[in-house]
Formats: sequence, structure tokens, C-alpha cells
Amino acid sequence: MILAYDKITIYPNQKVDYLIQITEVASNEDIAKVNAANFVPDWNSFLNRTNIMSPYTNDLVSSFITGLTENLSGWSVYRQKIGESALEKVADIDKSATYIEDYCVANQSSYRYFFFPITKTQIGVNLSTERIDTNWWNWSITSLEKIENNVYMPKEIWIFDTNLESGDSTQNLDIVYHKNFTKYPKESRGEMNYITGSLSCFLSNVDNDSGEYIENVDKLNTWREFCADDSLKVIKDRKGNIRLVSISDNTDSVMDELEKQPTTISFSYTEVGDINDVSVYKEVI
Amino acid sequence: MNQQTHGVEASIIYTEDTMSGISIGDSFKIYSDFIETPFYFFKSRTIPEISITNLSETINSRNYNFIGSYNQYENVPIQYYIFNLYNEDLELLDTTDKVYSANITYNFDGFTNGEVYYIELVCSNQDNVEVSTGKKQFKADYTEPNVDVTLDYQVLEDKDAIRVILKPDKTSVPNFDGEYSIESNFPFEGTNSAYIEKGNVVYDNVSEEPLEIDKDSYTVFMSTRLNNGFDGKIVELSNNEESRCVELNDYSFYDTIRTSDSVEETVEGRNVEIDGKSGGKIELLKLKGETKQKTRSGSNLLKDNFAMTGEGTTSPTVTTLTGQSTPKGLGIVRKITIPANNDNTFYSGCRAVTPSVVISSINNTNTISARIWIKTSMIFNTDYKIFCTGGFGTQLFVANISLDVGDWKCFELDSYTYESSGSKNEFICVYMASTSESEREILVAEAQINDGALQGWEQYGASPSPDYPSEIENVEGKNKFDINQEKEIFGIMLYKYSYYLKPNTKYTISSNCPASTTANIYANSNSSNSAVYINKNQTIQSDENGYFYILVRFKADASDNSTFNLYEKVLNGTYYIQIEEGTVAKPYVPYNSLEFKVTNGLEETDENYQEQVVTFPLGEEKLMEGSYLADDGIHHKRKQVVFDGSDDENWQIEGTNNFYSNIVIQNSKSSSLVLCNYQKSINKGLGESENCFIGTSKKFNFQSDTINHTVADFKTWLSTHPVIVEYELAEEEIVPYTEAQQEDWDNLQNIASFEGKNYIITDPYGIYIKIEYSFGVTKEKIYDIYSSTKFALQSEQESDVGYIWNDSSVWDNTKYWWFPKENLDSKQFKITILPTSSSILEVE
Repeated sequence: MILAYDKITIYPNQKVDYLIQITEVASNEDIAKVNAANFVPDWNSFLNRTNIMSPYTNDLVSSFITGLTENLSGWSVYRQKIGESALEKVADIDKSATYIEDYCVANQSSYRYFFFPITKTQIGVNLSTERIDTNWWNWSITSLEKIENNVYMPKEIWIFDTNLESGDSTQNLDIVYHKNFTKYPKESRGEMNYITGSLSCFLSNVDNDSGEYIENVDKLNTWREFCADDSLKVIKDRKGNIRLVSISDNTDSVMDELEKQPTTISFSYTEVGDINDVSVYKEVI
Repeated sequence: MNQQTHGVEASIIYTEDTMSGISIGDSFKIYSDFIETPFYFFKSRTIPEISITNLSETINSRNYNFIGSYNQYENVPIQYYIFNLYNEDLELLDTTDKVYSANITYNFDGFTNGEVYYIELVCSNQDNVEVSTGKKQFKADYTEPNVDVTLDYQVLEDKDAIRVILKPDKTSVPNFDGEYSIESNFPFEGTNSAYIEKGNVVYDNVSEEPLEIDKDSYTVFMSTRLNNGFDGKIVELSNNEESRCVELNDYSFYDTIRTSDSVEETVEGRNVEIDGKSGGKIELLKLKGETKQKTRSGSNLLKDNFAMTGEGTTSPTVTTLTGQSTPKGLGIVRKITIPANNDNTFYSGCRAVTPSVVISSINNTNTISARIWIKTSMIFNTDYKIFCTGGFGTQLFVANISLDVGDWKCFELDSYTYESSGSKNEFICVYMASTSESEREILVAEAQINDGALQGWEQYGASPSPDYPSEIENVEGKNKFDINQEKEIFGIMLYKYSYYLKPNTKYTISSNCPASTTANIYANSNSSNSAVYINKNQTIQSDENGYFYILVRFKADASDNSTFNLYEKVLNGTYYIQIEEGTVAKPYVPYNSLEFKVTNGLEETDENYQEQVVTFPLGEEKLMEGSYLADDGIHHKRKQVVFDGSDDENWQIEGTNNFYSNIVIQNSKSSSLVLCNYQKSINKGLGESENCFIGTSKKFNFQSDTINHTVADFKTWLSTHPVIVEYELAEEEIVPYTEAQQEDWDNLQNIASFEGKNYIITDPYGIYIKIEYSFGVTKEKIYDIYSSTKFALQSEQESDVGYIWNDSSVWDNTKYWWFPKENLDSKQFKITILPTSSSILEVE
């Protein structure tokens, strides 16, 4: 039995324009094609015979999607919350994207994602994920970096899962009652309708590997910078709420009675926008 | 009555009763029963017409650009428009809101295949009249691509997010253990490269499956650029047991190349064709002269103008007719008249016979050849025969018709070679044996008897020789007329310009001077029929001495208003006169001027035809062999001198036949052959019977047995036979340009090429030119050269037919080298850039 080659190694000190491996001995047509001075290879260059194709467009990795009649322009990504009929637009991502991370998902919820391939003139048959359930035992607060109107990418993520103590949550409404000479007051109602709340927890968490609580003073300073940062933030609780907030105040105290002296932080947040109006995602090519 | 105002110009008037008969633009006065209201002015307007002009029942794309139109009869401008897009349930999907623009367009991207939509256009004009197209239904219908991708996901508990992963069906993901970077737009725009600095890139899976390369069926293509001094493996295929690799040792190359932006090429020839670019530079590097002279070896011993006599039992007569039209132009025609009842027996029949020729038998063989033209409408072969008789006896040839020109038939006698010794009397006899016609016109135009083998058809008499001179032809301008040349007064109002040019040659005289009742220019005559004026050219023929003349009016005839001082007007450039060889008047060029014409290759009648014409006046110069134009003037390697027997030539005689002019010709090359119109030059010294040369003391020698052997006789002969001698110069002579020549030389340097094909035509035809041209502005650049190496490593085949990796190609500034297969294992390369070349590399 002839042992097949199972490895191609490229050695250093060279600038590789491309490497292609096809599953046949090259024909004269293949040679002529490669021989052309301006030959730029892609997966279609040798159709189904191409085994390895590395044009080094962006990195060492190369991938290819079949089934397209036109060149892929990108993907439109939609999210559907199970139980709801509407699809929420998450993002339009690049054709070269390898994955997308969606940060506008809440805990204790179920979602399905739909990917629509986009070509210059067509929207392709969509692809969908299976049902994805979120279930995490923590709170998180994520600062956002604005990409364009209502589109953000995550900047800094804080996860809190130790010694959590939720504060009261308040729905703030603009209602004024005018007392007249009538039996009941006259109600005047504004547009205002937002939530304020607070959370108290340890600043850091127990390390999964060591099982120990690790926290140093730098982390508190970083947290304070995070709170002072004027960027929008997304806060998610264990219950399944997700809100677009800013942090309105922050206090901390050290528990001296414990050896690790964990810092308990207490911060209040104020809802400043509708989470359904924004997209928060990260696209990786 | 009420009035409701709509904007500045529009109102609605409510009246108690219905009004009728209102038309656009009318003014109304409205009266009540008792009170006269003030004037209420209002305008009535036509309802605007709007539509979506490019809407069809289906659209075949995910995006579409809707275009609306708005028309209002009285030209009330549009104020704004709104496009509304609805889904099948008439729920609003998208709207433009109010767009204050007259350019009514709306682009929507995202139509899903198979879905039904409604589109509505609403427009409002500046009278606040709002109209709508209503909701128009259409459907998106196109073939949806069904891509082969799977989606995977992860719930990210450290980020409280969901990651959805796209997994294409084909992937190449290598393992990497070092450092690399991606270099964009390299080696050329639109491509990238991975620079592997450290570590190895290992492909051991494809589409997440273990890699399995069948050793009998694979090819690895690779293009890579190696560091200078690269030493070691480039790529390797392997398994646990064996491997195959491409390896180079001590790879080195030079890394810069000097070249230019533009392509430069040099072409030379008489009329050349180049590829040009609009405005590209054409640099005339050299314009070379030439010397031509027709010569004859003298091997034909039969004179052209031989007489023919009639022979035969019935005594035919032969009449010689000169100036007859023959297939070879004007020639001598002999008419043989054969009496009736002639005897057509061979020999004794009627025949025209050439004179006998005394053969001085230098060679022991003679060749007899003949081409005999006979004017007849008959077609025959056998009735006409050619036979030769003489010391060798008699030989009969049946001649075949080899050419047929009009009524003339040509009978060609193949060369007949026979042994001969001593002096012989030979003659050619044309035997006429026809009984059906009594008269024939025959032309023995090309009969010849050669001493030795036939060298080719030529006329009798060695040329050049005193009896058969031959003109020396150099490159000269086509126009022979020079208003400033020597002239004489003819009558009282005309100048006479005399010319001695080629004998028996046709010349055409043309001019743009206006027509007149009495000629202002006469060609070779003072008859009114020889007048020359615009569009009235005259073709004349020079006599046997090359002579002809023209007359030019220099004084107006008081009795004829149509005449004027043409001489003065030619002098100041108002009109021109041109004398040129041939029968066709070509476009005017100044006296003795060379003409360069660059055209874009189209017919002159084509509307896109373009040309540039530059002339160069040679003045009194001519361009001989070796002469050329350069930046500093006209360079000559030869010169000409004329001997006419005048005393200052100081002719002497040496021996019995060698005349020499005892004057040193300065800068001539001693002991050299020359060109001469009256003598051949075959030897650089004495000892010949017919010869001329420049001797060791730089004096001209003329040897001839045919001229009387006294100096006085020779000088007398020279006075009527001016001898022109073209001799070589010991050192090149440069004649600086005149002001006019310099100006035209500069113009020649500024000729620009046209886009595409360029034809560079010179007049007179045949000037040898050498030009350099470029496709734009020449600008030197230094490029970095990257030794980019393309190669293929493939399974070893029994037959490698078609495995051609030995070509190289250049793309952009990168040179690609293809390694032959035999070099794949190990090969030391050195690439050398040739220092003067623009893009040539050599591999050692």
C-alpha cells in the first residue's frame, strides 16, 4: 500500500504569494493558467480538484462557499427570540467573516439566528441555527464603542457572580396630578419611562481553575475608570433583563474580616435607551 | 362668499351657486346682490401627473432603484416627494419621508425572493397640491443562491453573549509555529503575500479532514519570493516514512533594475511603420543618403540597334521603325514584308536576319539567347522559328510563347551554349514562315550573344563607358525648380530656365499660379498649349541630352490683364513652380527638399486621416552613399567633382590611354575606386584599357582606348561629356546647416506619433531613415526586483510530456522564474541584470 502524503510544510524566509494543491497531475491547460503572469488563484481556479488553496488574502486560512451563482457580498444576520414572530436585525457582516458575537441577548432566553447570504443582486436562501438557550449565573455590564448610529461593538465586559445582591428596581414615570375642584385629580403624563436599579457584589470572581477569589487593587481602579467612562453600557441580570444604561453612582467597601479582603461594590444604573433600538456585536474575519 | 387661501397664489372661492365656464388664466369679478366685493384673484391649475416610470410587475434583484416622474401642465414645480414601500399586508416597510428634490428616485435594498410588495409615490407641488400614484403591486422574483455553509454556535458565559460561527464547506487551515505577516497588494495590486519569517506553515488538514495526498495524483503550485541568499527547503510533502521537497542553495540575485517608463525602439528602413501613442516622441536619428548607378557588364555582344535584313527566296523587305510603342515602351520595330507565294521552307523561306557578330573568344563557350517580340493577333507556335547559324553550324529552335502583351507575343529562345574557339562570325536569324499573313512587325528587343554563359538579360555595351554613360543617382529632392538658379531672358517678358537632367525622361511641371489668357509659365515651348497654371500640369520629355526648359514671366503684358510678374510672386512665396520626374504632379515641396510625412495609416479620404509633413531643404547639397543628417549638419563620406576639360584641370597623359588631372583632390582617399558617369572603376591603378580611379597621389585617372589619345582630344571630348566623379573622402566632412535647414531639422525632431499605427513616408522614395520612437515621455526609473518563483511540484510521471516550467514572464516589476523539473531538487541560481537593458535578466 502506498502511503499518501499527509503534510505540506512551507519553510521560512520566503514571501509566499500562494500555495495550491490539486488532486491531479496538472494538465497543459492548468499549466497555462498558472503560467499567466497575472494569475491570481482562488478556489474556482481548478474547480472541484482544489484541495488546498491559500492565496494569503488576509491570513494563512482560506475558505470557500459553494452554491453561489454570483460572488458573495456579505451576510445579513437576524435574531429571533423564540416565542416571537419578528426577526430582529443584528448586523450586516463581511463576506469573509468567520463568526459574529451578539451581545444583545438576555439570560434565560432562547434564540435562533438567521443568516441571509447577499450577493450583488440577490438575497440567498437563509441559513438558521438551532435553538440557542442562554443560561448563566451572573450579572454582566458591557461598555460600548459606537460604530455608527445604533450600532456598537463591545469595549469592556465585567462579569459579576459573587455575593450578588440586587437592589430595588424603580420604574420612573413623569406623572403629575393636578388637584382641581373635582372629585379626582387631573392626570398629566409625560413620555418619561425608564428603569433605575442597583447592584451590590464582589468586584472579582472566584477563579474557575484555582477555586480562589483573586482581586487586586488595580482591578478596583479599572472598575472606577469603567464607571466614569461616558460610553453607553449594557447591563444584563440573572433574571433575563437586559438594558441600555449608564452608571450613575458607584461605592465600594473592603471586607476586612476576610483574608482576601474582597471589595464589595455597589453601583446604581439608569436606563438611557431602548436596547431593542441598538445592535451590539463583534464580527471576526 | 368665502375665500380659502392655499399658499401665495392659490385660493378657493366658495360661491352660493355653482359656477361654470371658468378656464385657466381667467380673471373674475364677483358681485353680490347689493355689495360689490373686492377683486379676488386666483389661479386654477391642472392636476399634476405623476408616475413611477420604471416599475414592472416583477423585479429580479434584491435591490431596485425606483424612478418617478412629475409633470404639471403649467410648469408648477414639485415641492417634495415621498416613496412608501409596503409589504403584502400593506404594512409600511419603509418610507423616504418628504424629499425636497425634483430628482425623484428611491433605492431599496432587501427585497426577498417570492415576496409581494407595494410601492407608492406621493408628490406635492408648490401650490401644495398633493397627488399619489396609489399603491402599485410588484413581486420580487429571482433565483436565490443556496449556499453550502453550516452554522455553529457557542454561548459565551464569560461575555454573556452568543457566538454564531460560519463554517464554509471548504477550508484550508494550517498550523503555524512561528511569525508571519501579510503583505497587501503585493507582488502587484490586488494580491497579497504571506511573509513567513520564522517557523513552518504546515497544512495537515483540509475542511477539517486529515490531509491525504495521493502520491500518484497531485500537483502543488506555488509562487514565492525568496530572500537573497536563501539556502534550504522551500516546500515539502511528507508522511511518516518519506518526503519530497523543493530546495535551493545559495540563491542570489541582484535586487534593482534600471528601466524607463516608456518603451523605446529603433527602426530603420526606407518607409517604416511603427506603433505609436498620441504625442509620443519620434526622434529622427539618421537620414542616410545613397548612391545608385545602373551598370552593365557588357557581356551581350549583340548591339541593340542592329539592322536586320531580309533574306529568302522571295526577298522579303525589312523596314526599321523607331519610336514605336512596344511592350517595353518605345523601341525599335522592324517590319518584315513577305511577298505573296512565299516559300515557307526552312532556311530558304523568308526571314529577317541579324548582322553577324565577331566573337572575340575569351571564353571557349558562347551562349545565344533571344527574346523576340512579334506583333500579331494570331496565336501560333510553330510557324515562327528562330535559328542560329555560324561557325558552330546551324541550330534550330522552336520557340514558345512566353509572354502575351496585347497584340505582342514573346518568343523566348532558351540559352544555347556551344563550344567556340578563335574569332567567329555568328548571327541570329529569325525565320518567318507564315503563309497566312503577309506583313509582320517584329522586335528583336532582347536578342543577345554572350561571351561565356548568359549572365542575365542586358542591353549591349558595358556601362558606364564613354559610349554608354550611366548617371550617378543620389538622394535629392523631387522638385528641380529653383527660382534663383541661372537663367536667361527669353523675348522681353520671360525668363528661360534650362535643365540638363536625365535623358529621354518624362518630367511634369506644376504650379498653383492662376489661369490666364496668356501663359505665365511655359513648359519646354512658347506655345500657348504648353501653359502651366493651377490644375493644368504639363508633362514633357527631356531630349537625349536630358535637356528641356521652362519659361517664367517676369514682366506683365500691358495688353493682357491676366498676366503678371510671376517671377516676383514665386520669389516671395505667393506661388510655386515644381518640376519633378514622372508623369504625375505630386504635392509641392520646396526646391530640392526632402519630405517626411507621418500619417496615421488611414486613407487620405478618411475623415480620421491625420498627417504631419516636414520638409528639409537640401539646397545645393545631395545625399550620397554614407551621407546623413545629424544635429550639427550634413555629414558626407563622399564628394563629387565634375571635369569638363577646362584648363585648370591640368590634364596630362601617361602611357597611351591614361589621362590624369594633375590636381590633388583634397581630402580624397588615395588609391581608391570611384563612381563615374562615363567609366567603370575596376582597378585602383594602371593596366586596364577601360578604367578610372584616384591614384596614390590623390589625382583622378581616366583610362580609355575608345577616346583619341591626345590630351587635346580628350579635353575636347570632356567639354561635351562632362565627367562626374564621386569619390571617397579620407575624413568625413560636415556641412553646417543653413538657417532654414536648421529650422526644419528642429521641426523634424519634434515630430510626434499618432495613436496606433504610424506610417513614416519619405519623398523622394527610398531615403534611408533611422528613427527612434517612444511611447511617451522617457523617464528613467529604478525598480526593486523581486525574484518571484513559480513552480509546480507534482507526482512523478512516467512521461512528463507537456511539463513546461522553463518559461519566464514579467508582470509589473516582478520577474517570474519557472524552474525546470530537473532543477527542482537542488540548483544554484544567479540572476544577473544586464546593465543597459530595460528588463532583461539572465540566469546563470
